[in-house]
Amino acid sequence: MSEEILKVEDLRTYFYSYTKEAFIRSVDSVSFSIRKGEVLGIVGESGCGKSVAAQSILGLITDGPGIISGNIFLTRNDKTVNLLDGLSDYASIRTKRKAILEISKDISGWLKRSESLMKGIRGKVISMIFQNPKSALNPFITVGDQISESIMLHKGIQAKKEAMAIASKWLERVQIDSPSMRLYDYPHGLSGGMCQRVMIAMALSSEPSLLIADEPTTGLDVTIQTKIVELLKKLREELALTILLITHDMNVIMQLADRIAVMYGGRIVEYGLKKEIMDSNSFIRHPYTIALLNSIPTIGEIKAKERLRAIKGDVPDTITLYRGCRFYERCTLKNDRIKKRCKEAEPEMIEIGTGHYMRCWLAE
Amino acid sequence: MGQGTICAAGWQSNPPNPPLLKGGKGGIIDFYWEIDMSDTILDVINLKKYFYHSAGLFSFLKKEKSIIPAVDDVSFYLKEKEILGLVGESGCGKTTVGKLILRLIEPTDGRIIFNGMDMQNLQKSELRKVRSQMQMIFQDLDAALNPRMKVKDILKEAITVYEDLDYYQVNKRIAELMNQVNLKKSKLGNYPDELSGGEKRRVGIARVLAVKPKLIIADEPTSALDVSIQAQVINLLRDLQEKLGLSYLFISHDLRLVELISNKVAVMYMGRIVEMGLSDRIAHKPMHPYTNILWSSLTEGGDKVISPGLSWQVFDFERPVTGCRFHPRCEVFKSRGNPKECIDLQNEPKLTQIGASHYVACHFPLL
Ligand SMILES: Nc1ncnc2c1ncn2[C@@H]1O[C@H](COP(=O)(O)OP(=O)(O)OP(=O)(O)O)[C@@H](O)[C@H]1O
Ligand SMILES: Nc1ncnc2c1ncn2[C@@H]1O[C@H](COP(=O)(O)OP(=O)(O)O)[C@@H](O)[C@H]1O
Ligand code: SF4
Ligand code: SF4
Ligand SMILES: [Mg+2]
Ligand SMILES: [Mg+2]
Repeated sequence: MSEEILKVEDLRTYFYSYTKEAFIRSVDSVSFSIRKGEVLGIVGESGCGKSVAAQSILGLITDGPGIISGNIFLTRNDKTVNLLDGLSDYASIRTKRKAILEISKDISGWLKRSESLMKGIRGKVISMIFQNPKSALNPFITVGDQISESIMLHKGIQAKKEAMAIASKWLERVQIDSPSMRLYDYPHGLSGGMCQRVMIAMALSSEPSLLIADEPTTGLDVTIQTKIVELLKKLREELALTILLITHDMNVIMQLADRIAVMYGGRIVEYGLKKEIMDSNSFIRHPYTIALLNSIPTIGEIKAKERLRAIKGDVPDTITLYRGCRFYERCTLKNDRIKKRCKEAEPEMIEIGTGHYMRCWLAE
Repeated sequence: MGQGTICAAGWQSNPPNPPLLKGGKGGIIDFYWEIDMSDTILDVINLKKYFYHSAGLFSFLKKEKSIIPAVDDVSFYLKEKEILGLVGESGCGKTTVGKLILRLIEPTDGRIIFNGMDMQNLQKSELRKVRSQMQMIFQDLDAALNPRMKVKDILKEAITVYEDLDYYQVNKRIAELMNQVNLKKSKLGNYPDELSGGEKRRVGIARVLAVKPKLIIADEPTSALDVSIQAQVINLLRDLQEKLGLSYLFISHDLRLVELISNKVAVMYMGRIVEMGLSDRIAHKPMHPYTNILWSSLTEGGDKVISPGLSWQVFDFERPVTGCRFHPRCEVFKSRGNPKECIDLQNEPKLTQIGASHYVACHFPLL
């Protein structure tokens, strides 16, 4: 087994909703780890906390309560640092029977500490492809300037001309047409898919050890998507790149991920090797994972123009949580034997096979 | 385009012999639609949009600008209650077509006839009215949602742009809209930041429905959403289309969704429509080599694999292509031993009718 490059333990990221006067538990006690050179995929419906988890790792959560506890260990050259080290001194949480009563936080102290922890790491050791490329790019700076600035900052290159040449190479690698011309474009002159590829080029240009890719291929058509997937595969070999891949596209997960974490309502509900989680013959899988996979339309259904199978109901808001399983309302697999338990107690993470974990009473 | 004599209304009442329309630079439109124009809601004729691009610092020395022909002579029509899917690679000009139709940007050339009215000749007040009948769902989830406004106020604003309603009517309409897009009333007090992706998309759809449009241009309405929410949004769009008798121009890169939802599909390549026809035909009996590549990349089981033979090159507006713009990537071109028709500068294949409502722009269509 190669070493773990990132280990997230009991991460909790909560927000406060002023309109509802309540706490939102976007990420609620999440733990996972990524080994060097591995691709870990996080899947789940929108709103389940995937992006917030990713932003937490990069120290990008600045609002309100934000990250309130947990550890994020980053290992590099045999040295391990905790990216949340000492932050708990700036926040405290008061709960009563699982309900959050109060979170108090010294925001400025927190931010200062967080910035000093992330210095030299964000954008260099860990870089991120954001879900919304249009808002992640600066509209007033040309694409070439944005990428070359990042290259100069993170790769220690002094000459602007050299940095521009590297930027152009990266644009070519992500299949941007006429890269030398596009360097002088502002983001608004690019199509949605092009902005996304520019983001990818920028994130990769610093040749990070860990790449967090939040929906890197959504909005791209099949041909370019395939190219991006191929590019990521290739970089993984060339640069020993480790990837935390967040996506709802099962095809991308199938092609890239080694292990998968399925998230629901701020929790990881299933975690294990891709081949076990995605294998439809697999002995046991989480009802949510099954529902998620079922909502991908088959070719036959498309031909027959059938109504798509959505998972009935909405993702729970993580404000009002009941005692039981978070998927209870929407779960179609709960049977009479366990129904009562499902409603009354939340299942713990149970190991059901080597390295395969699941949070469901069915696994008992 | 200055023919002037043929006004849209005349055109409509004029079957069975539709007049030939002259193109702006003297070219004659290659095809016109089958007679029954009566329920055509949108007619796009020889639409062009060129973006000019000053390439680099020293381009002014060369005294030339590169041209990006983002939309290059595009024609299609859309009937009432019909869904036309528009597919093609990223950057091929889909969004630009949508924006041109709504006149969010000015065309370089070409005509857009909506509901019998030529958009070019409309007075300001008329344009305003027409605008309320066409709406766009933007690719970017956040584009239409002001982050400082609550859902309720976003909807209220949209409802009252074109209609003067009292407090009671507005609230009734808000409730109706929330119901139509399956959103819980409790979300009315939320700011966009407090919504999930799927909820944002549904608020975006409610906002568009608020002005009671006839035509909706949906630009990648599901691409930012995950599968299960995608299914919800697609089901919703289909239901609304049936219930309210809407027409959609459905722009997407997801071929499966396009096939599922559309009656007709137009395939774009580098600013031009290369094939158009009924969705089943396009998906299962494509005639243009590019369409064939697109759909064959979807194999049973849902895996997307690019067919091994496909030569994949960077598709490039800068590098001039002579003749058919697809030839550098075309398998047929290669297998036929580089026929000269395909690289003849004077003879770029034009979109021509080749079967019932099936149009292809290729010298050697697949049969
Ligand atoms: N304001 C602009 N200035 C210059 N070029 C532009 C502008 N808007 C679009 N373009 C160019 O026009 C071409 C088509 O862009 P468009 O946004 O229509 O693509 P698209 O087909 O919608 O792609 P995607 O699927 O990636 O959204 C691209 O090459 C783009 O860079
Ligand atoms: N800055 C914020 N303030 C309040 N709530 C937030 C904030 N950012 C995210 N959330 C909430 O956290 C939840 C998870 O969001 P996110 O991680 O973006 O979901 P996804 O899994 O789709 O990436 C959502 O309910 C969202 O509304
Ligand atoms: S614990 Fe019960 S309700 Fe929850 S997923 Fe398992 S079977 Fe369904
Ligand atoms: S005209 Fe020639 S090059 Fe173009 S698509 Fe047809 S066969 Fe291929
Ligand atoms: Mg997200
Ligand atoms: Mg677009």
